[in-house]
Amino acid sequence: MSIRTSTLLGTLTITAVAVTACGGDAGESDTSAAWREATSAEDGGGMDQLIEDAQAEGTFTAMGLYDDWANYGGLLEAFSEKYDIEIVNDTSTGSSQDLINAVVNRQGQADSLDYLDTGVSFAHDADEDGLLAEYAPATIDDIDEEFIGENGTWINHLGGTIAIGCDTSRIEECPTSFADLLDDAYRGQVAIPGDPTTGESGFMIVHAAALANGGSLDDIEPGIEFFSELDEIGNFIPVEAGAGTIETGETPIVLEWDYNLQPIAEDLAEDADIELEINTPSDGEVSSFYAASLNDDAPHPAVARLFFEFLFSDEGQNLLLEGAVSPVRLDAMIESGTVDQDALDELPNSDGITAPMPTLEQRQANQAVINEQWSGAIQ
Amino acid sequence: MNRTAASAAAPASTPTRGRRAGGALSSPAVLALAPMTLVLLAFFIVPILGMGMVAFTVDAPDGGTALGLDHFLGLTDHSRAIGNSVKVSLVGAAIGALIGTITSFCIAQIRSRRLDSVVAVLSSVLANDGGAPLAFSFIVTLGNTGLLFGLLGLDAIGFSLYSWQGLVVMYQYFLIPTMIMVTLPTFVGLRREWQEANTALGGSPWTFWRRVGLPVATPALLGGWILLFGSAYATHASAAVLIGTGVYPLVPLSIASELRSGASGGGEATAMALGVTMVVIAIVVLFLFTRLQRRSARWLQ
Repeated sequence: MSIRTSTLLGTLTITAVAVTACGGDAGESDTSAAWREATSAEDGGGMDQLIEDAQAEGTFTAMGLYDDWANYGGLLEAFSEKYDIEIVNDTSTGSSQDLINAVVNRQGQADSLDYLDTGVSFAHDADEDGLLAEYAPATIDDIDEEFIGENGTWINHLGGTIAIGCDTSRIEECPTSFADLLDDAYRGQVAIPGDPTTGESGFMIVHAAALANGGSLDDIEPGIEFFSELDEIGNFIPVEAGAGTIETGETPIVLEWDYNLQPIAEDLAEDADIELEINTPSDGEVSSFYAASLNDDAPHPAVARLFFEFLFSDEGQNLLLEGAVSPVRLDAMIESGTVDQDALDELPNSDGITAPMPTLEQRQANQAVINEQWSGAIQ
Repeated sequence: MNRTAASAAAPASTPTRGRRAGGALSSPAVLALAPMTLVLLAFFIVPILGMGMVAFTVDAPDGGTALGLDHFLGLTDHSRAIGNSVKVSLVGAAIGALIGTITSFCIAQIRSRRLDSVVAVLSSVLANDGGAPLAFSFIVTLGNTGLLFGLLGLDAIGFSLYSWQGLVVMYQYFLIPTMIMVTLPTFVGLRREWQEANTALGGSPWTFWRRVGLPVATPALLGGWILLFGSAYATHASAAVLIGTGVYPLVPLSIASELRSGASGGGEATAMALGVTMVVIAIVVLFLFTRLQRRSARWLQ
């Protein structure tokens, strides 16, 4: 090995050490250990006890809870202020798999995660691997059984619908269905936010495309074929679409979750006076819920459970609603009149909860199909 | 008579140092290296061995595990990714090497020490530039609505940034500086005396390059080209942003995809097998590079 190479390696490794915090569990208090076993606030000695013990732990660790995503910024701030708890939220990365990897790789470390927000299939797999803690918040009765994991280790907390965002300053007539996207007028203008084989949003977009093209939640292939055709006629642009590419006009038409498009639309209207129209495709509506779960090995078990209580309380659910997502207790809150009406009126698609949602089995079968076919379908 | 005409330096031989017997372990140098050795073990050697073990371990029929090549045989699904990576890296490295060589040759002809050092610093900074910001800056300049895209009329010639040609263009941003960084010392080191000797003996500039310049520089040029190939082959972040929706598989993107996809079993082993192929390529590249560098260095001492 030449001197230059070894110097380079040396520098690299020293940097690696410098940025790798060596966490260690310095033995936890009895109260924390007790909460680790508790499956509800009652079970652990009541809400007041939970708040007290959580404040003793004092810190909440999470990953990938982006400020402008489902209003997590507002939610974490409110939680932090209400209970005087410090938030450590690593937003350098945030895919579901990254969160699971962090939980696996940081077993017993103080910088492991308390709370996870992942796609359903990831939560399911993590539950099977015994990574998640069983816990039911006080409002669990409001939540339909289909939104709760079979072992009570994860709960669908928020969801939305796949929509078509369209920059009206660049597109004369905005598409309102998947069929519209095949129009010659949209050459090189239709994009998706990421690889469907690895990300939830891309995966669900292909589901919606399947519904629009004679497929079903059991048959995703027509969705893959649709994108193959979209690419062939030159309408599909393979870049990873995001706020940046929308703003520069590189991707004027983007398929995305309605709640991800909403904050981008607000920013665009504010900064550039551009209207980003958001339409739910008339021929392929798919909704999906993310799953909230607690790490069984949470470094702050009481804080983790207190956060769960807050997340599923009226206050927490209304804060999510402000982020343009449909919180899981929306129907119950509308009924009891505790819903934030202004936020509800802003929702891009207020019947988001009624759109069909693939089951876990369907997801797994479709994932296998898409892994096999996606990269070959688009050249 | 020209008194400053120095004789051309003979190739300096580098004597290999024999190990001093005994006491080596207690020498301060070894002690000082201990932390670094530990770090190398923890962050480099162990992960590579782990990767190899996962890649070569297969389920045996009796329910246990055995060593085997099954995961490598399964890589046929990824043959497109490997082919794409090789294509983009070969073409990208060839273009980068050509432009980089011409550039550093011209810079060397100016014979300004200050310019040389400025270029050396600048190119080593740019050579290590990349990642998502690089991709985004190219999207803004050469994308379909990019500033230069319209100005240069790239639409008319059918160029798209989101294709393998686009990747090649984007990679030039760090490939060309890498080539300059590697070849500039060689061109600067070509002695004027050699040129004078060539002229004195009745040779033309053409003869000089054919008989002296190129033979001396060739190993460095080839070595640079190989380094460029490896560098392009391993690029992940900027490629992921540019064509991250899975339309043009590349080896690093396939590894990420195998590691991340939720419901597919065996993804990890396949990813590790792909990783092993990359390590093999990296080792071959480094081996060839150092061999060729050494041949050049002999003349440039």
